[in-house]
Amino acid sequence: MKAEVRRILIVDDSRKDVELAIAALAEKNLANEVIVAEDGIEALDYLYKRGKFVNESGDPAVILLDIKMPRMNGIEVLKHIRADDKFKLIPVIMVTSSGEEKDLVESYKLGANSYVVKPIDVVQFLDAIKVLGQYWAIINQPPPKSLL
Amino acid sequence: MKISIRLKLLFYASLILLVSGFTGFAVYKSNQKLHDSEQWVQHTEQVIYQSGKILSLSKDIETSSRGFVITNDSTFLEPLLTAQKIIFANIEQLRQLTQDNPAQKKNIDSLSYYVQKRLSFSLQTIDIRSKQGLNQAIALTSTQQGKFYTDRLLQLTDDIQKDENILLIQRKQTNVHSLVIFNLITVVFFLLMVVLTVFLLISTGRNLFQNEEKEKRAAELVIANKELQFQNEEKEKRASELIVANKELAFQNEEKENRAAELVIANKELEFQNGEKEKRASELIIANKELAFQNEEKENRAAELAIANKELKFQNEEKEKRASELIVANEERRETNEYLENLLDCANAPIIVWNIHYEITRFNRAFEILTGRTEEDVIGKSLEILFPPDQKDNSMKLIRKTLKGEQWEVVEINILPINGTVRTLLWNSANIMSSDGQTVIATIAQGNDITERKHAENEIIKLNETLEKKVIERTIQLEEANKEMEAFSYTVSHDLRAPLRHVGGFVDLLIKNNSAQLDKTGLRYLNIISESSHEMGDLIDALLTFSRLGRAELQRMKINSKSLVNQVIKSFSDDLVGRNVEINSSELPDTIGDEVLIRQVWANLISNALKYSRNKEKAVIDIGGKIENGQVIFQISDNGAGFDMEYADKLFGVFQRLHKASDFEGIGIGLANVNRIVMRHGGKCWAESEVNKGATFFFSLPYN
Repeated sequence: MKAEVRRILIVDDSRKDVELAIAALAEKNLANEVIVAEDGIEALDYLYKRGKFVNESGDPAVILLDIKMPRMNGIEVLKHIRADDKFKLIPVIMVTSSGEEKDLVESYKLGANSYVVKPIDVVQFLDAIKVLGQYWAIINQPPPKSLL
Repeated sequence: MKISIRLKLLFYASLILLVSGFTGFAVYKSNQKLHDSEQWVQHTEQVIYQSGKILSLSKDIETSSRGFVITNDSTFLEPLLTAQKIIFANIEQLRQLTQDNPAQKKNIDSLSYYVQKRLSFSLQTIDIRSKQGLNQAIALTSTQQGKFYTDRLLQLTDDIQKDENILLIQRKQTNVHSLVIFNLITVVFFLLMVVLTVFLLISTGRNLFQNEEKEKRAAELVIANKELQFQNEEKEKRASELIVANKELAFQNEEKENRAAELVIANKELEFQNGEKEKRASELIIANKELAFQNEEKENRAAELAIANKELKFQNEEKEKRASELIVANEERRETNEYLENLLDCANAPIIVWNIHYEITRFNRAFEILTGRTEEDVIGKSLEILFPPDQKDNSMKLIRKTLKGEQWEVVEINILPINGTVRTLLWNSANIMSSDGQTVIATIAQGNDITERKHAENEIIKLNETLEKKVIERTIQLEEANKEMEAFSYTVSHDLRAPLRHVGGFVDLLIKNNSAQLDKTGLRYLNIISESSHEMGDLIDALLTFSRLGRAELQRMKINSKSLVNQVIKSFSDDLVGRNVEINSSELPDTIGDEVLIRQVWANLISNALKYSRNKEKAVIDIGGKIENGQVIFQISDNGAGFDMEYADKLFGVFQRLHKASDFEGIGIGLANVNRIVMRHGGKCWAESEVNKGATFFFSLPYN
């Protein structure tokens, strides 16, 4: 599993939560590269390589997407990702403060692959990634090259 | 290790190539041997031929010289001369042929020597014959020297040929042996090749078959994917429909609940009003009883009147005879009539009498008071004048109906008194029959004024209408309050958690990464902060769960209580390890409710019973249930710590605890949840206990 996750895009407006997430990932040496977007708009900026990410390249292997954010929330970002052929195969794990049912139901309806509750628990995150393995099996399409 | 089919194919093909190479090499070698063997046969034949030729030439030399000796004819010498010319060249050829064999070299040397000797001897005999004559020549010949040379030549030629033949046989044997081995190898390799080819064919076939299978599977997967996609879309649609349906259901439930609460109030009011009505009714009953009594009296009087009349008749017949008695009798009659009049007037209820033309013939004092009319106003007038003008026809219709037959009827008819305020009365009526009992001569009716009661009823209707409006208003208010509550819960669960999460998360990181820089006390403080933040997280979770229990939609279904309770008890089996616990559950009535929530109720109550009885040597928990007054009442009792009934009202409150946290852990939400679930089902919870004598918890659910 470890080898598959090369670059993780963390979308979260709370710098403290981001720091905790990175600490959790670093503990298990999970991501070679972590990119942080501070809200939904920045997340899309990264994906489309514009704004402050204009000089970046490549797609993330996994997106960790917070739900409640200013400007554009996680649900909106998820809609954009799933609507664009270029990104729709990127696995998205929703991150929630509460496990609030209505958020999760909506996320899954829009094609979220899994969810973890803050603060990100590495075991829970790994479980979510494992589920993604089955996701590729289910859709029977090759995963994006960036995952291989 | 699994070897791929392609690797297998490559392996078999390489093996076949290698074996083919070996087989080819073996065939080549065997051919070479055969060729060698043939060459050796030829070689041997050549040697035999060559040696034969040398022997023949030697014989030519001998025969030629003998012919010349006998005949002295020089023509006999020609073969000798020819042989002399070529014989040594032939020997040289033979030497060349046998140069690979050292043994033959010696033979050939000897052969060459004896050919020389034989030739010299022949030449000597020829010389002696030509110079010294026949006898001298015969003398030389008879020395047997020539025969000796010829025998040696024969012997040598034979030896050469024998040697060569032995060599040939040896070589042939060697060749045959090699050939057998090569043939064997060729056969083995050929068989190997056949086997490998078969393997290659099988593998290729299998590969082809697998490819076909894969193609089929791929096609099936494409179809399955399409189906899956379709099902997913369907599920999404269903999910969104369900969400809409759930919202509607939630809204309806809330509305129902609110309506129910309002209706309870309305019912109470109705109950009060019914009580009032009942009071009025009982008053009426008393009045009716009085009336009945008066009627009886009247009847009695009527009977007495009949007797009096009979007497009157008799008296009339006897009038003339008993004039003085008549006067007395008339006086008596007058008194009776007066008495009846008084009786009628004394009745509380208004009484009226009319004839068959519906003309008023009598009425009492109470009627006068009711209508405000005097005798002169009404006697001999139609009943119609008593009714409000717009109700005249209907009222007359009702009165006519009541006069059909002789049954007693009760009808409601409004009366319009002089003062213009319409009064509502319930009327009893009876027909008065002629003395023969065949014809109706009049009707008597007694009224019961129910105007106040009617007003009360109308007020109830109005009140109910107002209540409806209030229910709607309250429903809207509650809906808004619910929405606010939901928004509040959402905010609590997200925003309140964030700082808490940061405190806990960073303290945990501090403990994990920097514990070396802290002393014992510092580390203890950090652990306390970490524990406290987790504790507060638990409290927030508990509050949110409690709040959600109040809003979640109930999924009512039939619940097998006995089975449910047994399942819950089973789930606590880990807690029972190492404890002496006796759990008795009698037959429990089935009920209707949300199984998930009722399970939660049992789980909380059983968990509490186990928790608070854990300090007893033997814990005894009894679970029971019964049906009473349309309610199912369940109870669970333990012999544990119990509680002081003084604080019983706090028992079901949120975060209310009756025990010290150091004695019994917990955050005090369990019974609040129990209470909320039971209340939402329309039931209630209560408990009885004494400190250190255990506790019994009850909850009731409506039994349908």
